[in-house]
Amino acid sequence: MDSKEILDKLEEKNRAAMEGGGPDRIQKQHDSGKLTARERIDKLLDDGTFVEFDRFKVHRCTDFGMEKKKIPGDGVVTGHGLMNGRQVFVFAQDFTAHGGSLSLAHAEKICKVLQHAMRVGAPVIGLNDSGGARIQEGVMSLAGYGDIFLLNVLASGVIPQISAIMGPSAGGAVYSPALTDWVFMVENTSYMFITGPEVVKAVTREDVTMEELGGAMAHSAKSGVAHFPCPDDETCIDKIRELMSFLPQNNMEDPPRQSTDDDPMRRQENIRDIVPSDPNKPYDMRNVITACLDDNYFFEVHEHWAPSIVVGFGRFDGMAVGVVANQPAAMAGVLDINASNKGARFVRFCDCFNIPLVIFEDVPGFMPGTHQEHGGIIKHGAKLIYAFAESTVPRVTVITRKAYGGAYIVMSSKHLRGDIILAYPNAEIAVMGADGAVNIICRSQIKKADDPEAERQRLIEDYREKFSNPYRAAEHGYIDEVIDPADTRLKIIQALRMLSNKRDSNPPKKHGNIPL
Amino acid sequence: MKYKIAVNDRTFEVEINDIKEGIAQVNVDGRPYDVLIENYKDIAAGSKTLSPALVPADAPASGTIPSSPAKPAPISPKVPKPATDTAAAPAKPATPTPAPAPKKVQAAGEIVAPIPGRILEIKVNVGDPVAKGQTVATMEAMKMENNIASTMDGVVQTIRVQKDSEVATGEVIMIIE
Repeated sequence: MDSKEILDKLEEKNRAAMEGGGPDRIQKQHDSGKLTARERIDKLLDDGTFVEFDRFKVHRCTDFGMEKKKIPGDGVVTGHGLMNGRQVFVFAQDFTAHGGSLSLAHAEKICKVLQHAMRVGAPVIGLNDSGGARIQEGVMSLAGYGDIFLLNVLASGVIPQISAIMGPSAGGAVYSPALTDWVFMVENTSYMFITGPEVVKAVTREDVTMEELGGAMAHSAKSGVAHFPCPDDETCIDKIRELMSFLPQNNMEDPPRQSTDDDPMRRQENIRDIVPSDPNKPYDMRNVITACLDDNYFFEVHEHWAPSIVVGFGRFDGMAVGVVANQPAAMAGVLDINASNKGARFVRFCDCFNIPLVIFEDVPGFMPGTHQEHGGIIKHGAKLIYAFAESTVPRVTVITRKAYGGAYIVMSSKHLRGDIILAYPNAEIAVMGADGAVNIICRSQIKKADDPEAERQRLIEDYREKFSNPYRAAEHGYIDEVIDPADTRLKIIQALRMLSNKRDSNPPKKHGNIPL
Repeated sequence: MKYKIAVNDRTFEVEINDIKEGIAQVNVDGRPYDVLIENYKDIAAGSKTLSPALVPADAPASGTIPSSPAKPAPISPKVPKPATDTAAAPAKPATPTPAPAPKKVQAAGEIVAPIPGRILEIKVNVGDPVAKGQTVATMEAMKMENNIASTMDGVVQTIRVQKDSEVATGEVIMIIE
């Protein structure tokens, strides 16, 4: 064979591999509104930077006639490339080849990517589109899932791991995405569930469609499994690229800093009017957040789930930060089970990857009721305390109005090592609202008075005067500075700059025991 | 048993699944309600008690039989599960269709209370067109005003509460179609 023939043979093999499951199946993939694995990778990575691993890898199954059904790559495209010029690793399951089902060989390819990524400290993005286990392989396929789960766990907190669900993901296949940091889902073409609608109907008699049970919105609004629902593949990929712009490569790096034209001194006088002085009036905390951030831009995470707490990314003077904020516009901004879980998970992610936290606080307390108590609000609320208390990243808190009771302590207070606590002049830092407090501590005094109602009002005013302001807390140093709301942006930037070289640590331990 | 009843020119398909201790489990147009029968004791002799397995332990009691389904009981977000106890299983009523009918977790267009509280104001009337995100009611909860927004574009079909109604989490405030 001369060298031309040798190269021709390589080209022929490459061509066969690029076809995946063949033109018919690719057409079918396109008809169902989905891109193929290779098209997705091309869009995800910077042009021409993709380097493939294991293009010719095939499965080793010889049962059920599988030895005659081999497709190069075995249903998953893996490799690495650049995203906005930064190294990332990627795997994309190919639904056109064996339905993207997971054989041991398929799993080995994914594991190779994960191992490489951990060794060089670069993020991994998994694009999931798989029918599930390769049933013909039996326990070998399960072993493959297990190997991936283990590596997902070992990589957790070392490199950012992102999963996009761009097709089916059922049974055991859901757990690899669930172990990663971020889950994206494409509406109408993707779903995740442990068991499908048929089994659900048989067991619980619920009549439910796939979309209702495990579609993008079900998991984005109800279960909280997914962070980002996306209308189509392209939007999903764009959102992944955007999320990545806030994240460092690994746990040893700081998040990338971007240059900005937005003036750090920019005053925002409208914040004075956004927060109503009446403590009973709602407002959208997102308006305060966006007013302060660079270019008024906020990248919200978990937008549809647990709306009483808002989390997401943004930048202050080019520095990427994670924002955690109570949302008075939804359920009074109360901390319930879901809000606690949402906040805690986000705080821990930011702490893993050295992303400073900015907290906007206006919280009436934890949610009362049997549903919450029996659902374990105590242990779930404890997660949020745990997450803030153990985090060592710079933390700046802005109390915009209410900071009541246990919820005051939770929201990254001074007592939980919050670095800088700022408060607006109308902030109320107290055990509870004035009405409730007076009804408890002055009960007998009110009873004895000639005009109990007038006495109650007098005492409430008195309590408000004493406690419903930020100055008591400021006298004790629990608040560092009471600020004009118009200066919020500048004050946060000054604090973040001051804290940029912060070093703090926790006692040596194997790991803590967060109440799960 | 299925009945077709007409109230104010609207017909409802009512199915009574079970009556136990004065609380009837009723499906109105496929949606389950728990209805308290106030004069239950008077008619108790004539009524029969069906499978206890079908009565959810946490089924909340509610007001009197409504003349129209104006004030339903809070719908438990959980679907009543059949008892795991096999002894109870044969006690299921031998209806041709399996009862209780499979139910949807939450129908589209149902505007529900996100939090327990008291209705301060209903901002729309039956028949009004509403847009997704529009505030259709306000309620007080956690000593705060809360805006209840429509989840879809449509027309207000039914309003299930009035000013000062106490509502539980998940209770239907109105239905938009």
